[in-house]
Amino acid sequence: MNQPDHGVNMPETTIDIKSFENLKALAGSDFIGELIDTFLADGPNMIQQLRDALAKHDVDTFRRAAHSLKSNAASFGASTLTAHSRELEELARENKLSEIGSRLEVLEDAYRDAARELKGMRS
Amino acid sequence: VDDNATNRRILALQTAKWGMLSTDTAHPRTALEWVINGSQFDIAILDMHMPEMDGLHLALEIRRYNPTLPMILFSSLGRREINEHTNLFASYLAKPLKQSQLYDTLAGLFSGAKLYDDKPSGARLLLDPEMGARHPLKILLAEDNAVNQKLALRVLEQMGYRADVASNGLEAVESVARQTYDAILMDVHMPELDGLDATRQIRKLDTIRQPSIIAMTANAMQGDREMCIAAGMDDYIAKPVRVEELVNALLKVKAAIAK
Repeated sequence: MNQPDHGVNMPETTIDIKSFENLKALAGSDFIGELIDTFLADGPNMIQQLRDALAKHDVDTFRRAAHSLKSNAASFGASTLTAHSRELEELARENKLSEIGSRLEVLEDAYRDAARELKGMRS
Repeated sequence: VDDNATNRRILALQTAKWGMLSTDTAHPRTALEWVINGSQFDIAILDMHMPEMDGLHLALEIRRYNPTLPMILFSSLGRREINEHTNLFASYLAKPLKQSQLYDTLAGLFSGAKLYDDKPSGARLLLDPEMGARHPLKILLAEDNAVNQKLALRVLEQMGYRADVASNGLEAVESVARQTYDAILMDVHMPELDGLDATRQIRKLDTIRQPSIIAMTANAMQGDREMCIAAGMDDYIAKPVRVEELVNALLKVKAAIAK
């Protein structure tokens, strides 16, 4: 997956086009770029929060950050990222962060994929 | 399609205000010809009681030629008249026609899965820039997530509302204590004080006029709604926010105050 920014018709896309188009319709095509930028600026902070919270065993902060990421990912139609952040949110809700394994790394990969695609979709 | 010229005029003017293009006729046969000739419509509003052919028969005829066109029956009796054909109509409009009912009905239909999927631009039609003027509300948006905050403000702005923003539950409580709001759009998951606790604190403030509190959350979990209502919220909408849900929730706020 080392392609440069690409359009919406690439088969390996992880962005659900319908959700994305709905968001675009809602926000307006003149505003969707700003929303993407906001997400791309905020996303790394959320992931950092997840790392810090995990290190400090701060379950509440971890759950909130995962929830926030899930909410944004769902808005943009980033379905893989949505699924991984939902999984982490559930884990925190059930107080099972000790079972996280490599899931945070997997989520970070999903975020990078989604971020690259969203950059390509800026109109 | 309505033999009553006044009703046709009202519907045409009202839907035009919301950016919709309509074609109307007094004659069911004419309407049927349009459909048979392949004219494209997103929705049909059919009067029940017409001298040449009633709305039910017209609908059955239209259905033979166009299997998907959503149809609304416009009638003083509504669905009671057509109980054996309950799947025929996407919705019903009662007479006398109320603007808010028309709006809710159209908003509900145009956000339905099929149309919405085919035509994402439909969402923009639902954003009525006059809504804020027709239903003026003082709104507080309590939301910590930057993307959600910007999106909600943007959508509200396109509906003619300028909302204040609180970035966490504590700020929300402080804002409500400081000034009067008609409605709070309250994210459930916020740092400092979550939406549930913020609501409980707001409900304890007995010197203020209590606002309507509408929960917004990205959890589609069973029991979420009940939890929000138990905390003292009035309504609940899921994220990602859908325009018609937001519109309906805000229209309810208006009704509550008018009473």
